[in-house]
Amino acid sequence: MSPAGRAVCLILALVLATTAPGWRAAAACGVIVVLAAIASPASLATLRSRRFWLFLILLLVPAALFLGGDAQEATGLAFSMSGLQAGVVMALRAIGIMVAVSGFAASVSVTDLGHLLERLGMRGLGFALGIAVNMLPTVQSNLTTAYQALRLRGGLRRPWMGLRLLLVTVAANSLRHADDIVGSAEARAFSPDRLPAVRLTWSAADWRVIVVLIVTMAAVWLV
Amino acid sequence: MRFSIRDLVYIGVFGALWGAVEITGGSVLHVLNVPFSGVVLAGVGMAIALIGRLFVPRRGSVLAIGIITALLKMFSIGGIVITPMIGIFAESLIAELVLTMLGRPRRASFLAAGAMATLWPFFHPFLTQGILAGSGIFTIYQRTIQKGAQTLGLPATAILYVLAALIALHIVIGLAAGLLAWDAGRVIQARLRPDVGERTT
Repeated sequence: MSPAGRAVCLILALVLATTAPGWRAAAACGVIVVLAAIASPASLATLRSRRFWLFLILLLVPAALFLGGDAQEATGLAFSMSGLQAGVVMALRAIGIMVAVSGFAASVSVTDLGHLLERLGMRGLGFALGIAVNMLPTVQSNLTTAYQALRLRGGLRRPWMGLRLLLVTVAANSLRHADDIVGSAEARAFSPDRLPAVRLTWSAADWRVIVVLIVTMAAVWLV
Repeated sequence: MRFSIRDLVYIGVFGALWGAVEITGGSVLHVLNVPFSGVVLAGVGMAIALIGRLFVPRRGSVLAIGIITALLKMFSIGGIVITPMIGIFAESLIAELVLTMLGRPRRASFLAAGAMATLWPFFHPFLTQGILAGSGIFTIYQRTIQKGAQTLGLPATAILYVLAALIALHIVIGLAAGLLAWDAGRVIQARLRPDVGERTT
């Protein structure tokens, strides 16, 4: 699938997951998970995260205890079957959203995302994103080094001053590096305005997934 | 939004800085289960974005820094990415709106932008959980508060005082972030561009 197709599918999947009423959220979630497994198997890594399941449990338990009117007193707690059902619907919706977002993040590269931003009219933001991605390891290393140096010299005894020093050191170092990047870009007469517009391509797979999502949407809303 | 090459590089650098804090600091704070880690991260991130505004004094720069950070967060290794992404985007949008309304960067506008932006983490769970789970989550909150107050023997209105105290805490952290950004930003300006530093001091 192309990056543009994936972006459209992400939007459709989010609309489907958030608007599917009641138990139809199960069908919506099922379709999203199956499509994600086919188009971007890495997206299912979310389902292996312990934090994600903990989040779902935290949705289910209070829903069973506090939602629904048919509460049955068992072991001192008011347990409601309809509340549990409402909790399951919420959890299904959350699974659909998480898998859709993870699928997009796992399958679209930074370069593709930069091109998408440029095509959406955010001139230069793709270039800035590329700079940020390339600078991230340097900045992280600067941050760690400055933090350790500050800690060893007792700079964190006064937290406010420590934080200020840390920010000044890291930002100043990063900006010096940024000036080198600006210099080399200007020396090459680079300008984001003169970048050739990247054409968004669409593949047959994009259309197939989009059609499946639209049909599912229509079925969930109308049937 | 129309930025020069220098502006775009600076936006990328400040986005990377905020992203580095979110990715490394965020993971550590969440693993250690530090209370109010969301607002602490928002405060540090906002300080970075506001320093960015001093270096790119154009409309939309804080929002652009926020968008870059949110996208970096999306590509970072981790479990649930959508909620922090929404948070980062919303904080930068709020700060941008406040800065745009208040005009030229000043200490007061930085304080206001910081305070408003760091107020977002207070409302963030309600919105994101509402999006993820639907409106049923609000009924759960309501019943949990009622049951909790009942169990502790407190009147239901006591929750209002707790909420007011939490909002005040968020605002104080935001004001500190704005102040930090203004002070640190001017020191950096003086260090990197002595001519600019002398003019603003």
